[in-house]
Amino acid sequence: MPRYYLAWAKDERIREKGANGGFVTATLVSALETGFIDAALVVEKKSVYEGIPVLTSNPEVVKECAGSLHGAPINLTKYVVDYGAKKRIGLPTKPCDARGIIEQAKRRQVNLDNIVMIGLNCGGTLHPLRMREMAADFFGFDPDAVVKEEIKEGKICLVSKEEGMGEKEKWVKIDALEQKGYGRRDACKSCVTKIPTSADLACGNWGSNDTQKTFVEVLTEKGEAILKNAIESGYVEIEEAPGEGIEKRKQIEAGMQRLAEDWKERMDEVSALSRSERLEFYVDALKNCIGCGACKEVCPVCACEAGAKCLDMNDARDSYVVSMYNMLRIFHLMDSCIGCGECEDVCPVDIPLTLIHRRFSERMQRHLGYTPGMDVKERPPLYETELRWSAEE
Amino acid sequence: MPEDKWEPKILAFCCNWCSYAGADAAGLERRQVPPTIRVIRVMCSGRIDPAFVILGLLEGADAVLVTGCHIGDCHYVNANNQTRNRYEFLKEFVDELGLEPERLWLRWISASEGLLFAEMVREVTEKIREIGPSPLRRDWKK
Amino acid sequence: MKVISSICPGCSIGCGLYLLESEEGEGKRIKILHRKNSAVNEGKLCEFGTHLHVYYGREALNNTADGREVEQNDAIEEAKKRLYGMKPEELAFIALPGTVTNEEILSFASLASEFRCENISFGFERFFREIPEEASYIIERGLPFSEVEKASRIILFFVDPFVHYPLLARRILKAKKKGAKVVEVAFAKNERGIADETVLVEPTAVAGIKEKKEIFENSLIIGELTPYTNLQFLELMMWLNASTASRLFLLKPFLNVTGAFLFGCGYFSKRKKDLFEIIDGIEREEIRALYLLETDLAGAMLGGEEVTKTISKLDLLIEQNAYRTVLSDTATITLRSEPFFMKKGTIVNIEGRVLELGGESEKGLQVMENMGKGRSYEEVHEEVKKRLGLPTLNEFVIAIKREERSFDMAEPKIESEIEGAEGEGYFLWYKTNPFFWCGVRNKNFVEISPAALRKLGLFRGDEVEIVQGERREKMGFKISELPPNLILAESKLSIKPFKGLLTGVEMRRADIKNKKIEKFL
Ligand SMILES: Cc1cc2nc3c(=O)[nH]c(=O)nc-3n(C[C@H](O)[C@H](O)[C@H](O)COP(=O)(O)OP(=O)(O)OC[C@H]3O[C@@H](n4cnc5c(N)ncnc54)[C@H](O)[C@@H]3O)c2cc1C
Ligand code: SF4
Ligand code: FES
Repeated sequence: MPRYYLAWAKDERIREKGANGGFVTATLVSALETGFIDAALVVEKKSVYEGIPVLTSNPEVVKECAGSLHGAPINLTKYVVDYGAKKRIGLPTKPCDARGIIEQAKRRQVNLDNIVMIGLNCGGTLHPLRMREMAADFFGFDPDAVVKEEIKEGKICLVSKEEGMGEKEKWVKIDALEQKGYGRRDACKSCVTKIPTSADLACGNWGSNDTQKTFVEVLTEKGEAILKNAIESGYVEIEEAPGEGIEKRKQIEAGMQRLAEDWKERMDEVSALSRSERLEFYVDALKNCIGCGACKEVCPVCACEAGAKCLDMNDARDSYVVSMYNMLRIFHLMDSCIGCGECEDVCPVDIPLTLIHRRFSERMQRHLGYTPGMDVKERPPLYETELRWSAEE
Repeated sequence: MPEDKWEPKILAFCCNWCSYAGADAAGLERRQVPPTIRVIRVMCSGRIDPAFVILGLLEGADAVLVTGCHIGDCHYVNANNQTRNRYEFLKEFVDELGLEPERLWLRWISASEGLLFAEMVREVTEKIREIGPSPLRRDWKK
Repeated sequence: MKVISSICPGCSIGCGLYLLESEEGEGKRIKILHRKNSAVNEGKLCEFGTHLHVYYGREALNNTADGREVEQNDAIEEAKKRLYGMKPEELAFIALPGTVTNEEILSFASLASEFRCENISFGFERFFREIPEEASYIIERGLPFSEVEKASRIILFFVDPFVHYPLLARRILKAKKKGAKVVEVAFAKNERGIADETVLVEPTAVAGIKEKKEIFENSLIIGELTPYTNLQFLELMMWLNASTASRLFLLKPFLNVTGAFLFGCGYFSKRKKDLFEIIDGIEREEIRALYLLETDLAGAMLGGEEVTKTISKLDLLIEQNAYRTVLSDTATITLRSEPFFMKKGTIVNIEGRVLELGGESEKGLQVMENMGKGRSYEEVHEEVKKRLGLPTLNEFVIAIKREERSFDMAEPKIESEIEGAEGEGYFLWYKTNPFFWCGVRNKNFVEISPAALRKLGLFRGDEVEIVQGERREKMGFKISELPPNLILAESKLSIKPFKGLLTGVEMRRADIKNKKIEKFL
């Protein structure tokens, strides 16, 4: 049985509403109706700029949530931890969602047996407010009038509907936007995991030649089972993916990864600094921290609660040049940071946390030959008793 | 202390069974150990949480030494393997942060290696004299 | 599981957020989620916002009359009857506008007039009496943060944005990135170094800043106005503003303070009694009945114990609140309203955005309406919209704009002697912040100077004792780069300020046998 398919929802309405054929939605709906899962965690659209994760066992809600929201940079990991513990749940996962969930499973916060991850390829998300600015500055639209958003082949499309003016549609190259400082979040620009290979399925439009067919890669037995369930219950139809589609998908992925490496270099203002300037940079950036704790709260790999070491060993009365909190968070994430950028999104004083964590974790992870969030059987190296590299010594 | 009289302050974590005994031996053997060192005894180097090392650095230690029994000699089977693992993390951390690598040391010293202990302290002290006080140290204005 | 779109009640900025309410085992659990599409804060929250579940997790208030639990309607009837039994001038109404909606403010004001009561305070009335009418817009209106980001020169006038209004800090940092020059006028240099230039002011010589007027030219002056602000201090800010080409942006501590100015206590209300005068009136037993709306008076005010003592002189205390407060036990009648996040209604933030709350409950409003005019939520809400001149609401629009006007201001005299500054001569400066006003102490230490540390011979783990007459307070300390005689406190102590938020105190090393280490939050 080949591992690559083109798949689509049989129900025309789901197909219409879905991003590329509604396969993901139809699969979740069928899994709910057949009792394959107890609940689905999907993203409810509030507007083009806003999505809220909802946990539901109502298939109608899942159907309502079909479609991709590129302006909703949320990581679903902590939601799964919070209320997915006892139930069997299915959910769409971007690569950083899947990686976060795997890391939580390593830390025994979730039981992967209860979770089906329907992976979504991801070229990146946009910050909703930057997207509004983009709509005004680049598209000449009233941000409030934008009703639809789509990303395809390196271009972003906005559709605006103003009263008495009908619909206007405009496409702009993402690269052109990003050269001017708009576009995707920094974390997404530099993310190299474009296909969620640690999920159970990986779905996307790359490699699909039809706007209403989702390209699906089956990655695990669980993935195969949920797909089979969807076909047998009559919600989904599939065909084998054509060879050139598979090839094309690979090429796009590689291209995106090259671009990400490029961005990483371009956005790294620290690499050009000397050792002492580097220290100065970190101290300067981190001294603005007001100790709100939001970065830890949203961090998809952190599994510590109120007694966490970074909180416990931090005393607000200390007057160190950098707080223990920041130092310990950086240290503890060196092997496990997946670079999702959630921390920076919520930091009230705009500390460039994505860059800082990436600088520390990338070199450590390279040194360790370890990539977090990929294989649940690998323990985080900091927990290990033996050196990971001692075999080579 | 006025600036010109600056002397390195070196924090050493020593395991009870080997390196602390080694430090003791250095004393018994009347070897000259520079007074720059401040020793904290722990039961095993495996007890040295990397957070302690970081705390030491933030407190203004000019260097931190992590010491324990030789690999294979740990009194708690293999806990010093963990020490070595953590040291790898700390090394990368200290380097990336922008501190000189010489501010962090890992040494295995047995109970009988008093000489080695004294030499280590001398070596570290010299190195630190070369590179100067830790940039993490905070000096308060009078 | 329910997701509620909400607004943080921590300060007048009004950060957007989501509250996730889930029922689990022992009861409801609240989790704070970041709402990245919020125009005010992009989903970012300060320590108060991220700990809102603590704030919302407090013990609920019951409906009681004379200490007995009763049905709410009975409590309302009882309150009404007793209020009618009083003379109008014996009544007072107080609402510090932290967790009240525009609708509630409107209803509260109309309730007071129903009882023909003029003593209604939202905490800021006294300022209006003393300043020229043309300048009142400075108190009543804030500025959009985009103006802060655009400014080329910013003066932080005794404001540490990271502490007082954390979500303002990033706007200033952004302005700096765009090339703005930031100058701070303060008793101590900002420890995070946000300012390019510091103008240090001696606590005893604040008036000296008048000589340096030229630094205020062409700048945006950012200051703070709280019920505690020293009037001379406000006049000083306004004078500096009036006599230079500058704008003055006053931050305020309570969420819906702009709404309160619009619907309750703006310049038009200038003759009404002020918060402190009402409390004085109670002390003198001229005021005998008080209606507190969503206000933890003893918790919010400095010297809470004295306030509690004064309040006990009342014949009638009616407290309408979602949570128990320090005064609840002494209240004659308590009326339970809903927690802020459950409310339906609107608020106006300091930028002038009219923001809608995502709750569904009208309970708090209905309590007042049942006592008074009996209007429905829709009626009151329509009136709010009509008075705002807004048919539709949009959080991305600055609806309540301010127009800069020029005004004349006499040079204020500044009396700078500070009571109690003799002896060891330290000055305690309160740095207000969202925790400060809700009676939650989040920090159990004060900041002191290295010189004080040496002088008192303090070691790590020691505590200091701060003394002001009979009042004393023992707590931990943190060393900061401060002038030798300055003490900073972010949490409210029992020490009462003399002028504004500054006061003279003594400090010594505390005896600390068997000290318990406490963790806050
Ligand atoms: C931010 C983003 C970027 C993407 N980029 C690419 C890309 O570059 N290349 C590519 O091949 N495919 C990409 N995809 C995947 C693609 O858009 C489709 O989701 C996928 O092809 C499945 O299509 P479908 O019609 O089967 O999904 P649908 O049936 O429409 O179901 C999509 C599901 O995703 C959920 N969802 C929507 N927004 C989010 C979000 N922000 N985070 C998590 N879940 C969400 C919805 O709730 C829904 O359940 C991206 C998806 C997202 C969300
Ligand atoms: S989110 Fe920012 S301010 Fe808050 S604790 Fe993290 S780094 Fe500090
Ligand atoms: S006992 Fe010495 S290292 Fe473990």
